[in-house]
Amino acid sequence: MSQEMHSQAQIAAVARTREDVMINDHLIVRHKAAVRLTHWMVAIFFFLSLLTGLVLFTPYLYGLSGIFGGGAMARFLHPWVSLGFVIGVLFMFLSWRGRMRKEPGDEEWKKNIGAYMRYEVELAEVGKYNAGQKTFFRSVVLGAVALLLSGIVMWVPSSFPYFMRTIAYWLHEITFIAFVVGVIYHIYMSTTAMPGTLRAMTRGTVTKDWAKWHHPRWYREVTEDKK
Amino acid sequence: MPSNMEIRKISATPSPATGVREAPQVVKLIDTTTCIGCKACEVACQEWNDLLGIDELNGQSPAHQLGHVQFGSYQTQPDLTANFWNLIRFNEHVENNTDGSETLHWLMAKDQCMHCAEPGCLEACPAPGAIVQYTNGVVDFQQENCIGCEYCVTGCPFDIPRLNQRTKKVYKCTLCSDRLSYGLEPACIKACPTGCLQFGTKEQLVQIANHRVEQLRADGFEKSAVYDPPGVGGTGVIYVLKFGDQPELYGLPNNPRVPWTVTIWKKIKQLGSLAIVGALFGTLIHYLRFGRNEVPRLDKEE
Repeated sequence: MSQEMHSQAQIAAVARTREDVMINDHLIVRHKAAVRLTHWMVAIFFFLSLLTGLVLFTPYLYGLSGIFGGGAMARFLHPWVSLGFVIGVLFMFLSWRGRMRKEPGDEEWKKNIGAYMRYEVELAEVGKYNAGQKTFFRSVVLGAVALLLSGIVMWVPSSFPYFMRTIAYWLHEITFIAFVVGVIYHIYMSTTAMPGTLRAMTRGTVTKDWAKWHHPRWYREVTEDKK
Repeated sequence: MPSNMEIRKISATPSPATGVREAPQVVKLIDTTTCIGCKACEVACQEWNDLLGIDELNGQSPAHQLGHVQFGSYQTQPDLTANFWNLIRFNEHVENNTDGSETLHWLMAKDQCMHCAEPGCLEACPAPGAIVQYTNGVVDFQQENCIGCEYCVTGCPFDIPRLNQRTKKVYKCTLCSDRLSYGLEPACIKACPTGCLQFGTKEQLVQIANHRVEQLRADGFEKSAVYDPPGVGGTGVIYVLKFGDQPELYGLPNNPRVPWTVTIWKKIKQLGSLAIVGALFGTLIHYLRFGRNEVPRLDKEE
């Protein structure tokens, strides 16, 4: 009993400061508080951008403008909240990119993506992030750059030549659609398809079993560090 | 909006517009060959629409806003602004005659909204009801519904709409829709001293325009033509041009149409909506087919 309380205290202490450590014989810290905060700031600004942007995306969703005080307000707010999103992504890129580097085994993972999605394989060489997660990370960063560049043109279109405006409209639209499709799968995978994943972004911890199952090499690294 | 004018097309509204009655299409006819550049129409436009007093940017005149006062022309100002909707352009054209001499032509053009039958602005607009087309063909901006995105500026093949920097709404010629609703002709027509501006039904005025073109051809201007570009379904402002084969001499696009970039862009939106709905549906299918990737209990094995 006292030992259990002791480890509960450890969870609280460690999840704030260090990641990739076993905090008891059951849990591993996957994302420390700063990482989780970065994720959720990006997510919040993403959804603000999404809701204000959907107002302009299609007349069927123009009603969403009511949340923001009308269409003109949605149009006014969209670039500003999106700027918040871009800053968030920039910060996320700078602080996470080390972890997202290409590793041996990524190619192997990509070849097996179909089987992975059918839950047929979990590869032994998957580190802290699998190749899919890394691809999503890179896509988010590239997408944010494309949305920023095209968004600046759309913010003040009259300041730009005609051909740049039309390129911007296309680029913004296509990137947005790809982005939303990506985010739909991101959310589906983390909340529904892969049980035990969401808590990594909420409480910061995953179970040992989860780590061993989805990220075996990471699990080995963590447990070896511990020794 | 004028209460007795019905709406045929309305921006960003998937359901049908409210108009049920047919009305004859009204047009302005601009005979550029009899325009003397007096600018009475500009003054009338400013007076009737009460635009002169609008201090759009720090009380500066429209010409000041554009950064030029002197620009080497009798033209009032270089370009249209959000509070200047009707500009007579003083285009100079030097014609090379067959005997080697040159003739200077002053090709007046009345730069204003063309009130297209297929308005690119309306197609581009994402704000429900911000742009309407009445059954008589007049295209009108409803600033209370405008959100200031300027998509219409990109959608317009004639580069007409202008954003007011203070209100963040877009403005342009209304074809004096307020006057029309009381059976009056537009202010510019009323003011024109030479009769180069006429107002009436399209049927009538196309006839008059064709007749004038015949006269001009008989006078030796063989390329004379009526400018009523079919690429935008015809316009609510038609021209008689002496150099009908070269409308760009007048600052008019040769074959204007709703920009294909805008049309495709709207198609991308539709396909994108399907892609997004498809992705949502895909997750459902995946879940129903494969369920959840439950983590096996590995701990016990150790």
